[in-house]
Amino acid sequence: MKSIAILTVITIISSLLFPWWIIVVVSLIYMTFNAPNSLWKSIVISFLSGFMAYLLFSTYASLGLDRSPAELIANLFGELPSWSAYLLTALIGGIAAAFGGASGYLGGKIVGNKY
Amino acid sequence: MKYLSFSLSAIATILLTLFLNGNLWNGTTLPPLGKMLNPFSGIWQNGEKTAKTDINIQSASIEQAIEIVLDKREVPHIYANSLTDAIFAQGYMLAKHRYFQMDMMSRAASGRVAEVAGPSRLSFDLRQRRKGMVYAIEQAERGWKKFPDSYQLIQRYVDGVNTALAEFSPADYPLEYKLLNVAPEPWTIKKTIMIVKMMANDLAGRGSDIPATNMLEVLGNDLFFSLYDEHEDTETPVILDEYLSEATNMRKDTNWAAINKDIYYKTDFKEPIKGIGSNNWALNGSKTKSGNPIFANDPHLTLSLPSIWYETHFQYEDVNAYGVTIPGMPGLMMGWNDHIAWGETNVSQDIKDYYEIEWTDASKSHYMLDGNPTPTKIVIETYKVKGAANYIDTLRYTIHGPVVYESPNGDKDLAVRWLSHDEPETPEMMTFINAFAAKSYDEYLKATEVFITPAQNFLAASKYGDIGLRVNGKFSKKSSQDGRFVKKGNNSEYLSKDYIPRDENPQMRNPERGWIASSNQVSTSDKYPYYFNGRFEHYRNRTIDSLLTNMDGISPSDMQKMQQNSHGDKAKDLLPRLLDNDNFNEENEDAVDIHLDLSKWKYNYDPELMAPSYFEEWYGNIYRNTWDEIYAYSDSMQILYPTSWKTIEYILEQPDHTFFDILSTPKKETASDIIRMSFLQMQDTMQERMAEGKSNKWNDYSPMHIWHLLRVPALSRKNVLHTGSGDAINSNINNFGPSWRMVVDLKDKPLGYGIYPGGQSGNPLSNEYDSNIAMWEHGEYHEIDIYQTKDEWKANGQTIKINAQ
Repeated sequence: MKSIAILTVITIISSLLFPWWIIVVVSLIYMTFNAPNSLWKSIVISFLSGFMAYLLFSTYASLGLDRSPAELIANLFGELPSWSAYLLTALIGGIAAAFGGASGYLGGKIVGNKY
Repeated sequence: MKYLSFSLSAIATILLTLFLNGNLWNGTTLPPLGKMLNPFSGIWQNGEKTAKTDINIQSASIEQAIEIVLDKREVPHIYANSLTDAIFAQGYMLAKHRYFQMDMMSRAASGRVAEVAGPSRLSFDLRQRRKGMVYAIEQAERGWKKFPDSYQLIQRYVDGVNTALAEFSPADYPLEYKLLNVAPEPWTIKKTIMIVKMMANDLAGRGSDIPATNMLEVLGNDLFFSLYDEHEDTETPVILDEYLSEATNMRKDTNWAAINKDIYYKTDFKEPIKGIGSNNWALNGSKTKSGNPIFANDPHLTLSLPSIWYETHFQYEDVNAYGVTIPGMPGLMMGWNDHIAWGETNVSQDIKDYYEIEWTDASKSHYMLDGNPTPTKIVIETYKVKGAANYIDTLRYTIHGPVVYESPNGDKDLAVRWLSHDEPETPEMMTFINAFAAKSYDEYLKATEVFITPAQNFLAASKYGDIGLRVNGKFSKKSSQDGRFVKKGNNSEYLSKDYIPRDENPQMRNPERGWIASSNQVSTSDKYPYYFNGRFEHYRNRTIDSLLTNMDGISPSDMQKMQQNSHGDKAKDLLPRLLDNDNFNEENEDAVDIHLDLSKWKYNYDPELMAPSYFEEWYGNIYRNTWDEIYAYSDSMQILYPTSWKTIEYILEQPDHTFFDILSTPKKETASDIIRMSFLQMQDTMQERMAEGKSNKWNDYSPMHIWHLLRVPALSRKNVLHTGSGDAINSNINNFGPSWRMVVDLKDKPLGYGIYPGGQSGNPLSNEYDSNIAMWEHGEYHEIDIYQTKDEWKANGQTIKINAQ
């Protein structure tokens, strides 16, 4: 739980400073040096932190606006409900982070981390 | 094993990242999901808040501080100390609000759409460059540079655009860039020229040289000239006969030797047929309730989102001017100031001439001119195509202009002579900048005499009582029928070299009747000393003429109502004859209902009525059944469609003409047979629609849409209220219509009313993206008082201060 919270915060801060793909790099680096004791745990932690970072920030970015970006995004993909835009965004964040996390975990093994 | 696991995982991660970044496919079928949807720099960052904070910036490109007050509709009210600073500010605001639109329009003009939209747009790009658009742009740039003061002024506009552009971080890019996965490019003067040329091209396609040549060949002279009359008895030209130039009649006999009688088989090279038109009219005090002149203008262009128009208010030195411009073009094309109101409609004359090129051999390196082989100028054009390899095309230029069409055997290649290809000899870019500072009609005439193409009906009214219109632009001197057909390209004598002197262009000032109007109809009767041809409007102008002749004590609100007028004179001319048809079937209940509906109809194309749908469907069937002998050629060649007024003339005056005989039947049909048969076809269509659950109300039968430039449904507004028709003053068809409605009461402090179907912002996530559509649909206007104070404009708005560095 602590790892998810830390990784979510790091993801949000670094995403404010770097291009979108930094989410992959952050998970990769984090899991290289702070991985749990299994690949699946790395993937789940990375996925949940990416999912949360994108969900939280898309919600924040929508506050007090004239028009909801979620509604427009949902309409771009068809006549979908607005919540599907949040879900799609969060899933993209989660999947990108999970792939980065998995690579980080496996890379950690090469650099000698013992889990 | 651990190396293999890591390698596989790393490859999968890289591929996923590239996929989400839009690098693994050509980017035209699926947007870059990661880049576009991440909440830190993707579409989520394009949201806007109504309450905006004030902004202070610095610029080295301005002389003194500029204050821009954005009102609650986000119209910029620009307070500057000079024209150059005011123009800088306009460029700055346009980039803030409409950069993607400017960029796309400039790309479309210069044939660079495939670069951002992929292979599907390559054929469009090829057509644009083959028309010589790039050549026209380069020629114009050379011409503009000859006027350094004006060129520098346009550079200030470009500086303004690029100042705003420099403020964009990737998160700020207009969302369309995020969909297309491209970044904006800096603006240049050349891009402004592209916008000018795009309008020139859109408004110049009023020739029918290729289909007219085909029809002349297949029908023969007698039939052709009786079917495709250039003037009708009931026409009401823009300029009255008493104002026509007294120059010696120059309408020389047709030079048949120059006309290339031939057939041009079907090509994809076509000029636009219809859908673009405009109205303007001005009344002097004798016609108005207040005794003050009133001015009205509603240009009909493609309705799009973002809208083609952008409102701006300038205040500098002693100038206080408000109006609209096309994003990318500095100045105000239509508007009003403390003294005058002005605006334009398209003249609709044909200013493109086509020449068949006689090549010396298949290499096309030389062509015959005056009996001598003449070298062709070869230009290799490279087209960048997103997600595909570059495409190379060879363009050929002749003395006539670029070769726009190359036939399969090379024996019918056509070059086009278009005035827009010439290097301008005047500072044409100053037309809509000088116009908004004019203090009288005379100053307006002076300001606009530099305008070259596309020819427009320049109309203005001043609060001092003047009203006047000049058919403004550059026109060739032509012999009769010159330019109507494809000409032979092997003789330099057939090239148009002489031009009508500007002071002999048709114009009219303060006519006794108290009003002037234009709506793309024929400029003059055939009493004008010079021949011209074109595709002219036939019905709107009659309605306007009739209304303005019979109205007195007119108020601005009367003029607003008149702009919404949905009456169609075509229906008025024809429907009584159709309803009197002697073989109408009174035993058919549906037919009786339709007949009754049509009998009660007052010829207004209103959205809730079914009669306009019945009439238009019925008329469409009559047209196709009547002209079956013309349509028979349409599979093999471009055909010239007979006009509606000529069709109706035959029905009313020659109902037994052989044109009404349907070729595929043994019977010899008459107009009555065609009317009856077409009614039954219409009835079937309407019943089928009902069976499919569709309504036959005009609004549903003829839906109107306002498409986004990328035609993405989520960014477009479909099924807007459809009032009017192509033949009505409120000229709405499909996605064409009154793109800006303006009425100005020229009292001591002129008061304007305006509306366009869109909003100031190009951002679909702004309330001001489409905020005016509902008002526009219902014929409402914004009252615009240019004498409001800064604080009054500022209510619920924003201030942007640009300080000189």
